[in-house]
Amino acid sequence: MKKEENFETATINTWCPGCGNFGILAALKEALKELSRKHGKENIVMVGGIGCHAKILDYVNVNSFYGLHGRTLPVMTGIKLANPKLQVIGFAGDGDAYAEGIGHLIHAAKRNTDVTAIVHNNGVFALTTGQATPTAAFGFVDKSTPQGNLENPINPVKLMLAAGATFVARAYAGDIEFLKEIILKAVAHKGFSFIDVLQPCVSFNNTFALYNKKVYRMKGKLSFDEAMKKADETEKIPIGIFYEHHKDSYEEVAFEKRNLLKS
Amino acid sequence: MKEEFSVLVGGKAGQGIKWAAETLGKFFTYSGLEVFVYHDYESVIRGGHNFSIVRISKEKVYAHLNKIDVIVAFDINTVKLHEKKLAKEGKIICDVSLKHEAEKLTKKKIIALPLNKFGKSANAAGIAACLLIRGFDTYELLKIIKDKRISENIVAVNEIEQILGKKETINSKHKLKINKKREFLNGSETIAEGLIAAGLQRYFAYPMTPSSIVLHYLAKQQKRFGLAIQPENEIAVANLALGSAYAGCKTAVGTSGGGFDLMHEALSLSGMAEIPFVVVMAQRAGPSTGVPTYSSQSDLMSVINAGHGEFPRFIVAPATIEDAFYWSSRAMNIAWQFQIPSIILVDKMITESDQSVELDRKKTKNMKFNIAFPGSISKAVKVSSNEHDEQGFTTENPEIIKKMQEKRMKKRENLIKFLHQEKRVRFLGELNSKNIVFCWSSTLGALVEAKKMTSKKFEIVAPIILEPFPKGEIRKAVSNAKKIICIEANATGQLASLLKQKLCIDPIKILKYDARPFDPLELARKLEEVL
Repeated sequence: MKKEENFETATINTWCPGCGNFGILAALKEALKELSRKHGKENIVMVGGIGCHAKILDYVNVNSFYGLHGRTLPVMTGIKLANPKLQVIGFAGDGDAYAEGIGHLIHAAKRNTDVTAIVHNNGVFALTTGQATPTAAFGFVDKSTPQGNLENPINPVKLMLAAGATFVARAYAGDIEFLKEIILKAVAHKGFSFIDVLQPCVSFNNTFALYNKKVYRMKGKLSFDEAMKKADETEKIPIGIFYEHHKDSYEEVAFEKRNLLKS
Repeated sequence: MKEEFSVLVGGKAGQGIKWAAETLGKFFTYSGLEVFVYHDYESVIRGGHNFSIVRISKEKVYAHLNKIDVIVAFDINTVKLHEKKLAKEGKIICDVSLKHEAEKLTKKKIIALPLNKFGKSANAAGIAACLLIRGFDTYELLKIIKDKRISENIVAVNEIEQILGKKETINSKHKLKINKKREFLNGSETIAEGLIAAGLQRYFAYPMTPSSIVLHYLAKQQKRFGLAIQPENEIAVANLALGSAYAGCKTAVGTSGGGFDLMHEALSLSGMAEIPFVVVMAQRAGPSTGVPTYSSQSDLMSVINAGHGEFPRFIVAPATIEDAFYWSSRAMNIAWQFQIPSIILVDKMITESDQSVELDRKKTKNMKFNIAFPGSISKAVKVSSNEHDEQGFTTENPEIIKKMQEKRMKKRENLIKFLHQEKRVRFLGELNSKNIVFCWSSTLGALVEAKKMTSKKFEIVAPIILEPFPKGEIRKAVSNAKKIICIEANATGQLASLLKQKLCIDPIKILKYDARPFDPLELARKLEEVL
């Protein structure tokens, strides 16, 4: 029997020991085993921005486009529109997705291209040694806000719900099994799927203890309004799929329903 | 008909000025004559003052002249602003309501007709009158007017013919034979056709004058090639294009100065990741928002230096609307062959002017390249903005960094060798003259026309490829030169500074930076002063 692919590469992993990204990498590799069987490994493409998260591309032996800070989503869209057979999974940091490239995120949701965006949300710019991101808490102290962050964080789940994303989920890097399940469901979803992954940064924003205490798995389906409400919960932090509904993807409309693709 | 004549159509935005000029252009082109149409319009949608100049000739024409034979005026402002341009025997066609006021403004002959009576078809009535007073048959015009208002237009044309048939004597009705094989296109259309000929599959652009017509045209042609899409901004445009090319589609983008600025980071990524990136860069007058609907050649240094880091690039500045077809196709093939950014540098005079053209489609080719795409091979295809090894994995190893930088820069040498087969520079006029006049891009049109107006002898040297700069050919051309002049539509002389940087040539500069193209007559006078 053929040895099962482990997606290993020769690149030495340089994430800090104990980094939340290891959980995401582990969940991804598990998900990739199933996705490769289903779609063929050669038809999977990973896209990344710039930051600690993007190193994941060097650690996985799958097609990849290591792009620019904030520009993961347009690259994903470009790939999908060039070859709709490809399964495109994008990775972005919270700096990428919610600061530098927030416009692209909203438009990707609006466009409903059939791609999956996974945001490694640690509330901090880590690879630049610790500055506040748009998801940093009010009062968060770091190198760029030594007197405390003066801004309130954005709520990525609510933002994506409002933007019309057809699959909105939150996961936790410390719950690998559940994250893997959500990744598989997100990729299977026809249309734009979004996962905000709570990712503790052991060096600049270690939230492991907090998340381990507060995070819980949601059960059952939510309506749009219930999802909006649920996204506001902070006493306990719900993870899982907040909202999913079907709408024709951009490619379905562009290629099949408009019959434009020549080849 | 005389050897040539020019018609100026003017009025307010919204009166169908451009349509009228283009219809005249099509009429004469399909009739076997040569036409060049210049459109001058303000950045307004309704009102203001717009005009177009249609120059018709038996010989090929590359620019408009400000010497007009017929003015078709849809408002009094047109008479006021342009009557000075009229030739001695020139005539003004206008609505009867403008007659009285027009007579106060000019001594030139005024032909007042009930144009406004036809409402939105007033422009059709105006051009019909223009054709009739020049002695052309309007029968063929009706075949060209394919419009929503076709029946109203026909009524207008027929009524004008009845009126003028009584008032004006049509000496010799030219029976023109319509030949639709001849094409009447603007530069945006020839660029788009060139890209399609080279196998374009995806086009991404955010609207920005004077590049938007490429998007409009391709959006209509999607069935012929694939998709034309307008994403959220130019940064998205550039990154979509890189994703698309990485996944195997021949892709291009279009923009102007400010939009191109937003693409610099992606341009640099294209250089690092070695992803083909084709940019149609249509210049307008800057800096910043500048003069959005007017012309300029002030972004040569911008495209040469854009993007951080060092990487090879190909820059071509086609000099005519016809050349833009061939070079857009070449630019696409070169981008793919060398896996580099490839920039088609044009300006409003090319993208928005119309000309009678014959596109040599045999010279273009949809070439296939042996490049691995995701999904096409079992091995992972990895590209990166980070310095990376041959497999695409990030590296900080000094030896690999050096090797990869050399690998990328080596492509410039290969490109230089490859380009030897191309006409990188155009030489016109008295070859081997002691007087050399440099120009680039659309200015060549005005210079060729200016040359016809002066007895001064000189050789025109117009570099078409601007990076890698064709040093050898230019050095040879100037080896015996006594006087070297460089003509550019910018304030600093950007080609002149390249000549100085690359070849230690310090030309006399003739510059124009009022956002209007060179007027051949004015240019001829300037050349006579310096030569």
